[in-house]
Amino acid sequence: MDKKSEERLFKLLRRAYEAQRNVTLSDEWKNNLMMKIADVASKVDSPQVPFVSSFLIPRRFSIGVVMALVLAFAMLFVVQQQLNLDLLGLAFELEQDNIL
Amino acid sequence: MGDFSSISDESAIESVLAGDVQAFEILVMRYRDHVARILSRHIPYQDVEDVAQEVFLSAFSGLGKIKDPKAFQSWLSRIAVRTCVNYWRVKSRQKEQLLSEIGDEHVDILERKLVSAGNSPDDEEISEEDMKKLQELLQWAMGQLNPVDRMVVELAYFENRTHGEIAEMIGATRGGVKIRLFRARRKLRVIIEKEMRKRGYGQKI
Repeated sequence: MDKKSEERLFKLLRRAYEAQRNVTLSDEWKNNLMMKIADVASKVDSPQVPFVSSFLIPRRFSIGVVMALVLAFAMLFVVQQQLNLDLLGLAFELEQDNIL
Repeated sequence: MGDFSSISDESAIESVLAGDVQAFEILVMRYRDHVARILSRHIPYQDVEDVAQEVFLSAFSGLGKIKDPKAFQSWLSRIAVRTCVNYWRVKSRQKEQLLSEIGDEHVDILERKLVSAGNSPDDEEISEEDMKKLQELLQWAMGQLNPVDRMVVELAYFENRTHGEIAEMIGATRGGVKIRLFRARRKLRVIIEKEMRKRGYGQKI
């Protein structure tokens, strides 16, 4: 395709583009939109996460991360029970038994 | 809502940000035709209503971030253009075949118009039927470009926007737009040329 044909091609495409029909947005469309906006606004006004949980769990945490943390604490608890370790007091009864 | 012509964009925005959600209706009424015009050019007409709602919902959610309320219209235009790009991204990800294939008749009309030695295509008489075919061909060819290239071609060649304006609209640099435009134009020409050759046309151009 030579330069002249390319110019003609783009002019033709431009005419086709300009001839595309314009859509008119009705009042019904507007009313529907305003209902959606009111809905969005009401959600913004009333936080979905209750105060306590929003304090404890930042919103950016996904449910997967929270589940993983809960699982990790549960496993730690089981291990602590099994080995009888006093994690908080940093006293290890097993060790003490051995020493004594 | 009654007459709102005396209420400026800035006052309406201020009211919305102060919690008066209904004041957003002023902006919707004022700019719905503007948004519809942009969307009608860039996406299929059957999706314009839904995408226009998406544009205004994004504008509502992001209203607090607007830097210059006086430039609400150009800010809204940018949202509309970016929403169109996202629309095409989603469609191409879904591999949705929105547009029908073209046939010999489309290519035939194009060749006739390209080789016609008469007027410039700007002045040439084009029947309604031929125009419909050319539009289908345009949609088909544009559908082969990636969403950003498509938008850049439409804004530059069909809407006469400057490189600076396009850069601002799509969030790119001027240089980036220039390079993209050059490549996209060549790609579009090759797509059409290849289709013409495939169907045994294009010998005379």
